[in-house]
This record gives sequence, structure tokens and C-alpha cells, in this order.
Amino acid sequence: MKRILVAGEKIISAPEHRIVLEAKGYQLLLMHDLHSAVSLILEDPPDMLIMEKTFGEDKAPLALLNAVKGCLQKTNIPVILIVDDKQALAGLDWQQYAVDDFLVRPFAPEVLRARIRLAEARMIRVFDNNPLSRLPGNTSILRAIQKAIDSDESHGVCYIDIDNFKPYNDRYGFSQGDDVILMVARIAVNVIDELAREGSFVGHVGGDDFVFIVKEEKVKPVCERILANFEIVRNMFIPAEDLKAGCYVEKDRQGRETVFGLLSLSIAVVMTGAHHFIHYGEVSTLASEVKHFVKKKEGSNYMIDRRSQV
Amino acid sequence: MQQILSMQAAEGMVLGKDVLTSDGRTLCGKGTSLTTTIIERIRKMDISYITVEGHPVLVEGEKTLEQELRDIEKRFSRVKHVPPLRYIKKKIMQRKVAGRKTP
Amino acid sequence: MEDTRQSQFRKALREVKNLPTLPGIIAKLTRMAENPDTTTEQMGKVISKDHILAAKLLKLVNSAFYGFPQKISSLNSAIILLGFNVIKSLIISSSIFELMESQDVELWEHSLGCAVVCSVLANRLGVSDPEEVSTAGLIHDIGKVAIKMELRQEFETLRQMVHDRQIPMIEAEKELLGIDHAEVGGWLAKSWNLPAKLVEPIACHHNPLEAKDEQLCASIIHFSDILIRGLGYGHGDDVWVPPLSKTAWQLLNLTPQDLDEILEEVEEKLWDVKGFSLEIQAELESGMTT
Repeated sequence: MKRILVAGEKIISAPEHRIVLEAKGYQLLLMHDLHSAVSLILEDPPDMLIMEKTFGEDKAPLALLNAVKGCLQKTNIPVILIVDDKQALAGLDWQQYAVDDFLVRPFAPEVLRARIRLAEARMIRVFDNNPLSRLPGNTSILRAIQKAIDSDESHGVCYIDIDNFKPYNDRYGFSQGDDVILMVARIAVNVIDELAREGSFVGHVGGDDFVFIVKEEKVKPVCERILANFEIVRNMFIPAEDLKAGCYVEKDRQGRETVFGLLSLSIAVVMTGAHHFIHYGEVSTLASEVKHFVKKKEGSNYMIDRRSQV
Repeated sequence: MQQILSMQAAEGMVLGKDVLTSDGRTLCGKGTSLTTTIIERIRKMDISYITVEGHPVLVEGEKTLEQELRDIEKRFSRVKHVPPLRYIKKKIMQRKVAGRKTP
Repeated sequence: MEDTRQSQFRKALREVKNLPTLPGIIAKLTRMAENPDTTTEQMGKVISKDHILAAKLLKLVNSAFYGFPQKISSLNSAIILLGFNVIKSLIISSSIFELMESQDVELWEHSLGCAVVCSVLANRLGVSDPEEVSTAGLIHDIGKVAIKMELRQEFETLRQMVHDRQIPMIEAEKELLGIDHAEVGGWLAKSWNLPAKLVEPIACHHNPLEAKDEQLCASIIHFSDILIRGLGYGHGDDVWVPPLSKTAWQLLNLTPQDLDEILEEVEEKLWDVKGFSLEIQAELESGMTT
């Protein structure tokens, strides 16, 4: 980790602070206003953000935080919040200030340095994130499903599967396949971010399988929007001739030449409220059954398990 | 047709296009003759611009029809030898004249 | 001597950092972003009317960081893939023109008008992805902005040349800089990793014959540019309608009947755009008086 965006006038106050950090190989980028800080984050994201709670005007610190934490590709960038006095900590809503660590002024440069190194180490340790999509992996997913089961509210546990993904990979290569996975990840996250921010979760099981959890009433709008957005973006990932033909010929898992349709999405939904689930395993078992049916349908579809639809 | 501020609307003007509310519903249809009641309603809905037939409002600094037509001639002056563009120029001028008339 | 000057210009243009937007647009988008009920779609509609923000979004989504280099050629898809938060950040980080210069509003209107015509044409011609074409139409003159921002002195000279010698801007550009804004736009688009589907039409919009894979798209933009100039919507740096390329005309294959219908449809659509334009300028004026 090398580049640190420092947002605030007084953080690296004395030259010794600077020298200590730079000697250890960190490049400090000092920004004094929101505009330049956000520009940097957008165009050339740093490896870490150290931010003063009193940075810029008014809502600037939250806007800056959002620029980092609000984007899939950047949630792994650690953020350290610098606070002027202990009193300020009492009222802080950590849900709002989704930072990774904080420091109360005054502090010695060695302390700052240690916290920076701790933040770096923690990022590697804590996340079981998928390296491609940056989304949480299996452990986090199972935990999230259990949480949904145990909750009083009914949630939809939704499994996304990309249809005809293997022939796509065979035809265009793994790199292209990876691009498609990334595309689906972003579509899912952005839709859920916009339509169902509260109480939702998005995870990447691996390969072309994703899981997301939203409240029951959000299942329909979210699924519909994900499918609609996919239809729009998908065509950028398929060459013109194949798009026109609407299909292509590739070898299936048994090695036989088969005609395959173009990429589509299948979403299998299980509602926690309609069943008496005890263990997350039961959810995935039921979801497999639903998946079997929804994948059979042509094109992109979502399907809720029948018992949930009473 | 002319786009005017709802403030400039006056009785007798005819709507050239539907007036829509901010959520897309039609408040008044195209072809409606404006009365004081209708104008009040439009202003109450916070709609700033409407389109009316003809060219009833004289905007300061706005060009006359003759000036507009001369401008079009000038614009196309260097492509007189290109048949499709001659056709387009003719059409544009025709439409400009028609647009200024009130039906 | 000429070569070093040209390469100097190239260098400066390629490194263009500051692409400012109209203050009215930023003001409107900022207000929308602060309203919790605003949807990405609504923001997208406004962004699709600004050539600078559109270019920035495309640059962002096609950057190696986001993972889709040279893939995304339509604004709609860019917005879907980037999401609300990134768009909000983009608005915050956007710079605005210090003074509202009439030139900038004219170019903005021209770009928007061109996008509208491209959309009408692309749909009529049954192009597979009309949105791609209108996206290219929206940002086709991005080279002009770069020249204005990076080569200010030269830009003033160019204006003088156009005025004094009554020559078209593109001729002045070629004479003074050795390159024209279409070529510059093409470089920029390429350096931003935009897909060839956008790069080629931008670079070749004055000379569609030069396009390799995207001749149709380049021709559509070429013709749209001409039509919108003919309609006088958003004045260019000079008043004259540019010549029509034979290649383009043949490719488009339009009958007089087609032209009549296109003109009708375009004027219809431009009315809505004009309303939006008035709104944006009003935003600015109210901002200036406070």
C-alpha cells in the first residue's frame, strides 16, 4: 500500500509526521477541499483515506466517505477518521460514519503509523471477498442467510445464476467471462443500493453465482430492475454477429456440439417468512429446486418458490 | 409555435403542445384555447414554460421572420451545389414560415 | 518546425484535465442528488443531455479500474454499471465554467441537438443499438472543448481567423494547429479507452470515408451535425453548414420523403430539448443573482 489521501488541514501538521510516513514508503496526497479529494478518488483511487471529521464544509466528510465506501471497487479502501476531542466520539453514528478506525488528536506520529499498518493488515484478514467482484464470499453469505432466517421480518433470499455462461466462456475466453461476472455484480449492487438499501445484502458465491437478500416487498422491483438492466448492458459483451444470430454453437459438458442461446439471468427466490427455516442449509436446498425450474425458461427470468406465494 | 413563460400567457392563445405536470400527467391538451382560469391553473402547478401556436409574444432581441430566413440562406450559402442540402434548406424555410402562422 | 509544434499541441490536448460543465446543469444535478427520492434514471436523463458529463462517465466506466476497458459505448449502460454513488461523486468533482460564456452554451446545445438527430436517424435506419449512436452524437465535438481549454491563446487566434477571413473553423484549425477538432476528439476518446464504436465516429465525423468499421455511425453523426447546423440550433464557431460527404449520403440512402419525416420528428423532439435548455439557463441566472 502506498498512496494515502489525507483530507484535512491539520492532520499531518508537523514536517516530522510527513517524513516518518514518507520514509516508510507512503506517498501522502494532501487535499484541502472536497472537489479535489473526490476527483482523485474517482480518477485515481488512493490505497487509503485519512480524513478529518471537520473536513471542508458541512456535509463534506460524509460525501467524501460515500465516494469511497459507496462503490464496490473501493469498499476495501480503509478509512481512518481523525477527531479533535473525545466528546465528539460520543454522538457519532458509526452506521453513518462507516470508517474502519479513528484517532483522537493529539497523537504521536508513531501512533498514526501503527494505525495505518493495522488498517492494511485488517483489510487482508477480515474480508472473505471475492477478488474479482469484491463482494463478500461464502462465509459472509451463510451468516447473512442465517440472520435473515432468524429475523422477524420476511426476506427474499435470491440466487442469481448466469445462463449459458460456460459456452460463453469457452467461446470468448475467461477474461471476457470475468468481465461478464463483474458486470452482473455491479448491476446487482447498484440496483439494490438504489431500491433497497436498508437491510439488504449482496454476496458472490463464486464463478457465476451470486446471492442477494432483500426485504420481501422489495423482491419484485429489485428482480425486475436487475433483469431489465442486464438486458440493456448485456449486448455490449456479445459481438454483433452472435447478437444478430441470437445463438451460437459450442460443445456442451458432454463434448457434444449444441446450439446455445445468448447470456441471460435466472433468479431463484425463497421467502423466509413463508417457511419455518432453522438452518441456512434448508434455504439453499429449496433454492436449488427453484433454480432448476427457472433456468429451464428461455431468456432472463425470476421465480419465487411456490409455497412462498400463498 | 413558440415557447413562452407561463407568465406571458394570455387569453386567446392556443396551446401548441400538451401541458404536462411534473409527473407526466396531461393538465391541458394541445389545441386548447387559453382562458384566465386555465392560465391560473397552469401557474399554480408551478409550470414555467408552455408552447403556444403562432408567435404571439414579441421577445426583445428576437429576430423577425425575414431575418430568420436570411440567416438560413446565409447558413446554406456555401453548399448551394449540393442537391440534398438544397432540398433541406427549402424545407427548413417552409417550416419556419408555417411555424410563425397561427392556424 | 511544424512537427514539433504539432506534437506540442498533441501533448497539451491529450493531457486535458479540466473539462468544465455548464453551471446550470451542475446546479440542477446537485439539487437532484440531495433529494432522497431522486432515482438513478432521473439523473441519467439529465446527464444524457450534457456532453461533458457523458464523456466523463464513459471515460470512468471504460477505465482499467472499473474493469471494462473499451467495452461500454452507451451512456445508459455506463450509468447502470457505475451506479448512483459514483455519479454523485462525479457531480461533486465536476468543475464548472468560471463565467457563462455564450460559446459554451452554443456548443452544449449543438451537442444535444446532434444527439437528438442521431437518435431519430439511428432508429429509422434500424441500427442495432441506437443509443450507442446518440451517445457518440452527444460527445462528437469533445475535441473543441479540449482545444478551448488547453490552447486558449490559439483558440482566440482561431476565432480571429474565422472572423477576419470568413473561413470555417475546421479550416482554421488545420491551418494553425495542423489538426482539427474531430481528430483531437478521436485521440481523447482513444486515450480514455472508449470503444472503437465511439472513437471512430468521433474522429471521422467530418470525413466518414476515413472510418473503417463504423462508417454508418460516422455518417449518421456527420449528417446529424449538418442538419442541426442547418436548423440553426446551437450555433457553431462559424455560421456555415459544412459540406455533405458523398459516401455518407450514399450510405444513408434517404429519400425526400425520409427527409420530410425526419425534419418533422427532429423539430418535434427539439421542442422538449429547448424547454430543458431554457430551464438550465434559468438555473444559472437564479444562481448568479444570489
